[in-house]
Amino acid sequence: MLLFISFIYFTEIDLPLFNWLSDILYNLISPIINILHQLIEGIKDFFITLFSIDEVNQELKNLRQKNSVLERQILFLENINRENKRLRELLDFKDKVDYQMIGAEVIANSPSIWEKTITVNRGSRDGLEPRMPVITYQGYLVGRVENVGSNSAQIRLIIDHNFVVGGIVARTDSREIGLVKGSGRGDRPNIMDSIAWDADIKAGDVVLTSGLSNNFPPGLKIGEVAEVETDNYGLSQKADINLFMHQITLEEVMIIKNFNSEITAQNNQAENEAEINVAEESETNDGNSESEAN
Amino acid sequence: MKKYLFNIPVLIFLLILQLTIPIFFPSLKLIPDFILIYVVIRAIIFGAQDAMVYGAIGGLLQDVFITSFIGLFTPVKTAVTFLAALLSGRFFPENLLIPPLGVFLATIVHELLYLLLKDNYLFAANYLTLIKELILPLAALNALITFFVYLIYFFWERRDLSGQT
Repeated sequence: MLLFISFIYFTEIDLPLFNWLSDILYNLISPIINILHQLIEGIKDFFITLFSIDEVNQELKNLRQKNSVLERQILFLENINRENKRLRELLDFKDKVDYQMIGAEVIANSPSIWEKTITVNRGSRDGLEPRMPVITYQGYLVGRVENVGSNSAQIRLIIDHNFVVGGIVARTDSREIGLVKGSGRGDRPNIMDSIAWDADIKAGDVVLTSGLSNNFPPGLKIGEVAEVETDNYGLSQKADINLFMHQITLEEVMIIKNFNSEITAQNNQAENEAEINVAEESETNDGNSESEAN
Repeated sequence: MKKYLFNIPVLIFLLILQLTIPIFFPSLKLIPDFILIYVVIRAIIFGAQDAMVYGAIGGLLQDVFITSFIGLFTPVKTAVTFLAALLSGRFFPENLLIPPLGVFLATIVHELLYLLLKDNYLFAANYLTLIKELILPLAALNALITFFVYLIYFFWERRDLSGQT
């Protein structure tokens, strides 16, 4: 039996029967986890509410006050939004962000210390597909969808040893790129390597997704550079990246269903072309003014 | 057949426990491998043939929640239960320290086998650090849980032997 199992694993035979059995098992167990999660959360919420009824009442009062202030602000912002839309139409601006997102609750963790995955309560029925990017509500990169069941999906976290994403330094005078790789451990920073030997990168720089691979949209927050050191005998540099994801407890995530990389790329290209045209025009004007001066 | 009907749901329950504990206690750094504990205890008490089946099923269940149907946990757990079964029948049941010791060693072998067979860890891992910071604490935690589980099992069996129900 051991030899048979090892043979199947190491030869990586893709038998439809195994995939079918795997789907059945996964789709049988994950709803149980989902129900259990909801049940325990319900009980927890009940007791939290029961033991902090005074605080809840006080918070309710505060929230009502805040709500009335926010309602006024919404009215004001709606006017600004309408004006913004009208001006965008006038200038023929396209929306830069074209994400379709769906929220999901984390219902299970990884069954192994070596694999950094989580399971969420959204699946193929909600339109999830493998390789979709996953972020927190604050916009921090969490990982990507790995396997999808009908009602749940597994997310491979950014800290997993197998995870690689293109990163770019978000500083006005430095746009250095590199590869951010998972350390395999939650208590260790990720590593950004393949950074050019003369790259301008320093501790405190924020790293975003570069979007060069088309697997992730550009501009998602990854983390902050903690330390930079030379790598490959001085031929390149590498940096420790403290992930923003660690600042929060991962209870809910957002899955980007469609970030439409083509549109974003087209927009970027159009903006670049516009910038080049503006630069060329200004150069021509400068030239003309110089010749006029001569 | 009857024993499978009992043991497979137990394995599923242990898997669910293993998967959901970190959600409710996010500050926990190590999560015990309940499936490993269960199959190793079975291997020590009932021998290789019985335990290897449950080792394979437990591994399959874990693999389903990581990658595919037969992943790395299936062969590794089957092999570890086979090794643990070598202890079977070689100690007195009154010796309460043998099962925890067996689980302690089985955890170390299990995690090291997994690392050695996992291609992205094989050459990249710093084994000494991983053994010191992850594998040994996990083995100790598993062994501690095993001690209490075996203690309960031992007195439960004694109660049956003494004729009480």
